[in-house]
Amino acid sequence: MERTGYAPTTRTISTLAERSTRTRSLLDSIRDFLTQSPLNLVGVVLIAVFLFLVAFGSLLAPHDPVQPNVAVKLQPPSSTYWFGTDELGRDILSRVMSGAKYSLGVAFIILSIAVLVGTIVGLIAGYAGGIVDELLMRVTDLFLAFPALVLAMAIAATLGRTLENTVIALTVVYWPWYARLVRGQVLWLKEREFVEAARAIGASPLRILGRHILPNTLAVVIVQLTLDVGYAVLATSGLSFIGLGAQPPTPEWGTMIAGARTFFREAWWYITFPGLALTLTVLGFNLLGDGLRDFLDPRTRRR
Amino acid sequence: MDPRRPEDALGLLLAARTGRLTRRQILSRGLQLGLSTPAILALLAACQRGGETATPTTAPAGATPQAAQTPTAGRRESENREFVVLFFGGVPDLDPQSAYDNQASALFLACYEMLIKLKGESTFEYEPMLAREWSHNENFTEFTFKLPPNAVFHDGSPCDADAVKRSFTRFLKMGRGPVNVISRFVEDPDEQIQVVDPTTIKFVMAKPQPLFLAAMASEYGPLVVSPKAWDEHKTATDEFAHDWFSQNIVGTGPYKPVELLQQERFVFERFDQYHGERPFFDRIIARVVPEDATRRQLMETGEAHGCAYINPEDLLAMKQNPNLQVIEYDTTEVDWIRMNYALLNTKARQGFCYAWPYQEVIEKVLRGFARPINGPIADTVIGYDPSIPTYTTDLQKAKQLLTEAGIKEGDTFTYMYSSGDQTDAAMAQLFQANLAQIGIRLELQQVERAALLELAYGDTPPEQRPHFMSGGWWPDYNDSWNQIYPNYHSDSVGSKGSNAMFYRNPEVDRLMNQLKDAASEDEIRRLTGQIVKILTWDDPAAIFYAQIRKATVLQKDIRGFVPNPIYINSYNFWAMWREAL
Repeated sequence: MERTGYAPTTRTISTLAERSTRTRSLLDSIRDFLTQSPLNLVGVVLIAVFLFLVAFGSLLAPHDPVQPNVAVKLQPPSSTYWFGTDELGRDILSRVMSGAKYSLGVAFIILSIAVLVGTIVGLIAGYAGGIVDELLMRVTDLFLAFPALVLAMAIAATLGRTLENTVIALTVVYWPWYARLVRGQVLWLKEREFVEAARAIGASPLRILGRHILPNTLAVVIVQLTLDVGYAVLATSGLSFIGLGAQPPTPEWGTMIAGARTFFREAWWYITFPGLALTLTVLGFNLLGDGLRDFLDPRTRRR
Repeated sequence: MDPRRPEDALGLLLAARTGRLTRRQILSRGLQLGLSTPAILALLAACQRGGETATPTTAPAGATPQAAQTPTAGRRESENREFVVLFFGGVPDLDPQSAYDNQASALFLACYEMLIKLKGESTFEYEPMLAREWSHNENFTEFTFKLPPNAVFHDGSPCDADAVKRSFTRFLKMGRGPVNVISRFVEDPDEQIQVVDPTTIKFVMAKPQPLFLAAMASEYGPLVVSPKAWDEHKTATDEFAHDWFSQNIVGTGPYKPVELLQQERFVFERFDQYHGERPFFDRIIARVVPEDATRRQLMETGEAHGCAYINPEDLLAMKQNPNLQVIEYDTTEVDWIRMNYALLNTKARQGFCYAWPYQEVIEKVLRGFARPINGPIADTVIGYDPSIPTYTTDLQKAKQLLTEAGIKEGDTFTYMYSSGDQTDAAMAQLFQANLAQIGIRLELQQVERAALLELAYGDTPPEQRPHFMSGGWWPDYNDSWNQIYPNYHSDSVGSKGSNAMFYRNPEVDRLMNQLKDAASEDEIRRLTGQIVKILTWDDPAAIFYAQIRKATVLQKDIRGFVPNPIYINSYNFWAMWREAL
């Protein structure tokens, strides 16, 4: 009980950025963020639209995204088929809408696991130091030494071509980045006064990590995460494009683009709309990520 | 009326007279029309007369003279003497006595030679290639070939009868890839191949072999390689110098290699010491362009001059392009979906045959570059039997048969095809949708072409193979046994042939063994019919969904190209030329 009693004290000397955000309401922060730059608003709107599609895209799709109807194959956009149809007569709008949950949903799963694993490894390595740090960092170096997409391709090709294996492959590729990032933060934070104070009063390492260090690394991780969602969507689609990810008839965007490239001279709409969805998603997350970085960084933040 | 598809006997007669139909086609069409044998024989006689004066029927109409028929002086030749052809993938093995690969064969026709080749569009008439003339005795047990005295290999060594014998000995003893094309007839090259004099070589058979000439004209295997190069490059571990020949070319053909980048580009130059007529083109370049859209673009911009690998959708668009010729031709190719014999019982396989979307595939995916077929034998091949019925889609019947086979709703099956092939992908998804309607799940697996071939032609046990695998085949020469044996005989399972789904039916094996030695055309027809009926209906081996119609795209100024139903996707480089427009 004694130790917990000191907790508020340590918290009051946490970083300036954290203190100032805590004293303001969440709504104020959001308003500030959105008005900071019009690009932030664009990013948020784009992401909101695609998140909505992840949740409800399949339900709201006007046609069956999977059932072929060759009688209407490769139809240009019309009032019935807003985005046109593909080589098997499936509605491209419906496929793009239901595809969000594969392309984007998979990216979220990949990054959730990668962040979890990466953060744990980074916290341990950074805080323990010494031989543990050496060991863990050499392992991460091992993964970072390979070009990310090549490594993911190798893993996906070895495990077999399914969307689940894409998740495994890309998780393996992404976690080391978070481990590095978090470790760096920990190295910096663990020498700070509030951590030393906690240690001085006898707080356990687990408590120091959980209550004092982890919360202070989150801002950096979140910014990185937002920027990475775009890349993860791209990588998922990339693997599917070369046939290593989602398999037909799954309306994953990369798979659709791969199928469309045979027909792009005859049917521009087929490759355009899934490509546009992919572009806008990546753009949205990049705008949000950039915005968040500027917003959360006290040095660039407008007062 | 399309003379190739006569609707009545009169049309058939006209087609025969103008030489538009091969003897084989006349026979099969005649039978389809229910004509009497004498009537058909009369037609055949007409066909032969017509055939003597026939001109190739390739587009542009009448403007495609054969080099042999048209004197050079009479034609307006272009200054541009380079011909660029496009491939879809690399050619890893350049050894003509080992590669069993369509693209490799197209290359070989520029630089290697068989003794004889198929004449024009015919699949049973021949013309000189390396040999000047040939003959056989009455009962087809002795075949004599006369070589030109001036034939030399690209390495300068003479190509006499002894060299030809050594080349065939290498082919037969090495025993790789297409060896069955000739080993069916020649088991013992030392005894059966005799050098009569430096320009005469004789092949002696143990029994009558009326198909031997057809096999000798195959573009798979019986090509002549330089024995000098063999001697120079053989090693202790590689007595046939296969490693060297798989990367180098030394033949007697009209073109010699300049640059062989096997995954990228092949450049050939005219061979000045070529024994035959000097070809028009100075250089033949084959470029490897994996992307469909890029191949089309290179043809449309005029950077490439010929391409046999264009998907049906693009072909339809390119037919509208006035700068290009799209030359369509009937082939001997039948495409099928192999069914796993170890994993699916007879009823199940019959059920799946009824579930295939035949009409949709032919009309909407293959876009008419195909027609329905009743089994593995195309209607252009000896032994085709028009009386065998063709499947049509019937999901009720499929469901009933699958239920009888013990398959329940929700059961999952796997279908494997090569990635990047959009035609395959589209067909697979239509099949998947049909099966979904009757509660069966089909899981699609795309794999790299190389991985698919490795699985199909490797020794993976059938239990570890998918339920369905897409494929297709055409005979190396016009013969039903040659088409069926490698695919459906139990001797050809796994790495021993192409029976990738381990089809094993003792009755089919027995009939096939009889067919191999069939002495008359009637017997070939009767036995083939019995085999096809089992393979298609009684104990289905595959879903036989289409006989393929191919198209080669050429620039509009290219002349002399003649497609052949057996030399699919290949070029008669020696006779082609470019007109000055």
